[in-house]
Amino acid sequence: MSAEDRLREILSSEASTVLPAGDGLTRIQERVARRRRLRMVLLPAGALATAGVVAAVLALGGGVGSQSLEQTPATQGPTPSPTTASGYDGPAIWPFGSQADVDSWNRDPGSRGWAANAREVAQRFATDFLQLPGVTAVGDGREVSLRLGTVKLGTARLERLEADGPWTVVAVDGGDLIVTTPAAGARISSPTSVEGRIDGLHENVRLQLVTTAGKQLTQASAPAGQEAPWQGTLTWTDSTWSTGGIVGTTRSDRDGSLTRLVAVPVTRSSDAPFAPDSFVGLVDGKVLLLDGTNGRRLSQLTYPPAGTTDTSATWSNDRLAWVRSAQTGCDNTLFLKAGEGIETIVPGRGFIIQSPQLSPSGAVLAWVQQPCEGGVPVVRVRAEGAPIRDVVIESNLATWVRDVRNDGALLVVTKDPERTDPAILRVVPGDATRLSSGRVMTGAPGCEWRAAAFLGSSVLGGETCGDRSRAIPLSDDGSRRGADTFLPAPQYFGTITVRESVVLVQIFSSDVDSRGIVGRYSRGVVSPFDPLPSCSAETGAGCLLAPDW
Amino acid sequence: MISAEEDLLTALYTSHYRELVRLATFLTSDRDNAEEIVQDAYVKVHGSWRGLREPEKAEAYLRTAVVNLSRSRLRRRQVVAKHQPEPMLDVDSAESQAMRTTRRDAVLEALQQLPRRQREAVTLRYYADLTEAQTAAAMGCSVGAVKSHTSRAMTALRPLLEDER
Repeated sequence: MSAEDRLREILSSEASTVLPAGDGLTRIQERVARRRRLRMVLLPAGALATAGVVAAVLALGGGVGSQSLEQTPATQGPTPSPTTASGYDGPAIWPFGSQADVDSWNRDPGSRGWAANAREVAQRFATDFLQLPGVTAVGDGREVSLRLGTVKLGTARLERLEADGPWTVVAVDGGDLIVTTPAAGARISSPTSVEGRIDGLHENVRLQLVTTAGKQLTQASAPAGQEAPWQGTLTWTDSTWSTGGIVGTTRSDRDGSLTRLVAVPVTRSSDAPFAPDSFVGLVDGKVLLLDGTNGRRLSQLTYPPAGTTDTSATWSNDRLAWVRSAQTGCDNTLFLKAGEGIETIVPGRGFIIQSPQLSPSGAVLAWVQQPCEGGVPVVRVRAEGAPIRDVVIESNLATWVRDVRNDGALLVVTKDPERTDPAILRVVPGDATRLSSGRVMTGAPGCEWRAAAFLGSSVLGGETCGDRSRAIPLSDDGSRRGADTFLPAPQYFGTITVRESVVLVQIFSSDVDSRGIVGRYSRGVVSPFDPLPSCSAETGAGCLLAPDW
Repeated sequence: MISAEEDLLTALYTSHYRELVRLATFLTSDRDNAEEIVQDAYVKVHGSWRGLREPEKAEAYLRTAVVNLSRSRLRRRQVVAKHQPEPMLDVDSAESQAMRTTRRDAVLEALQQLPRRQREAVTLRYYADLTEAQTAAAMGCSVGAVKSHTSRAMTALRPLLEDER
């Protein structure tokens, strides 16, 4: 059998498993009939005006016949369409968020002729806009039931922004899944707290912010329970949208199928401050996105397959780099997500990879790479549009990149594993190819550097002296510019990360190491976030590690 | 007139609907929406009923409409996917790898990984059993382009198909 015949056989066999539902002809006939009626109301304006005059004359004469009645409605269904001169004037979600959207449709419905039919709009709202396959819209007019099989998910509320114009979804009533905040039509800015109630037990509410243009800006999960209010926080950076909706869904614990759907319309508050206050961290071997204002979990960013775990992550300007390690063997991969794509920077097997760092612009990525079988590590620096720069480490030192600037300058900590000398902190220029050409930051006698980050044109280093630690501001030339107050002993800095001069730290205590305090830091004072609810002080499970912003 | 149109619609539905749904499924890898695409095609072609110079060619018009609507669906899906911060699954999970148990599945998966025009060409040629000229008409390209797309697609698929023997 030839390859072509074999392909024919496979396609034919697969095709036999595709069985249409059986109501196709009825659906086509319904749509053809609707289209016929729609054409009658989408006549050119002159013809409509003439028809209006005729209808008025007939009405005045009391002789309204059945034929003129059939030509009047733009859609069918039990609920009559509004007959006022102007249409609905409230907030809407999709497919039309404003009169300008409707004007565009009036000029040319194009492929969106279906917007003249309320049920079609509700159907496409579920399957196209929200990407919820299998949901069926039942009914017509201003209230259309959204169902998944026999389960009623919610009731879509539809209106026309213009009398006799196309329909748009303005909200979805989710039954006992209720959004109490924000209110319908509220002007929102990032971050926005979404609150509500639900009757089910132990349900999680998945929240999304979706724009009228169909772009999902963000998502979050809100744990919920019977008679207890739920709360989630949506954070986003996009400032180009104006209208959209907050959508909440719940799923069955048994099979993951949808059980409820709620949606409220919102508009973007244009005068809100730009607030990209989020950071990433590792929890149980996965990279999470966390709220920069309170440390709460926003979403999970990586999903390591079974047998692997994510071991470090760095995040800048919406770029994320992380290391995924096999739980057995020396198999480590460095990934970079920039825009829509995920790039494998260092493929698995053969290398130990640690401490990746992205520059503030996200354009420069630096990491330490060492052959699995041993040997001297090397610091690798990858800048957009340039070949990878290797910074050679002259002897076999344990090495960590703590930060990288947009110009490729590095902040590197090294420690000789064979000796008891304290760890050394260096600033390595952006064009250097040898670690030894970096400038050593001045340490106090008997102290060593653990954490550090660039802070503007200077450096903030975390210095540990015995069981006492403090942060030291340093100049690029290595000189000390003062010293912050000591942390309570035996605490020390595990991580220092800086974004736009705002410092986030993780502080460990050397007697209880598993649960670090994460919070904002300023001149010796830590403003800690609440620990994640799942964090176990004894085992470290569910605890946040290695925050980076 | 309407009655005659309805008769033609029913006849075309009976003759071609199922095969067109299957074609749309191959072209979009989307069983859930394949029927909707084909229904759109019927409604669209029905709108041009009276403009059809050769009603016997309605099948070809329907097929072309299905190809075009499938392309639109794929484009829309790509736009949605682009803005969908879905979990970053960079490698197949162990479960999904385990499910890919047969070569047949591998061939079907490879088919879906082909560039769109190559997938269209081999599907129309070897599933719909169209000639190169008919395939070219459905795809809106030249016969030479069909030959080229088909050849490249078969080059990619052949190792899997030959392993199967």
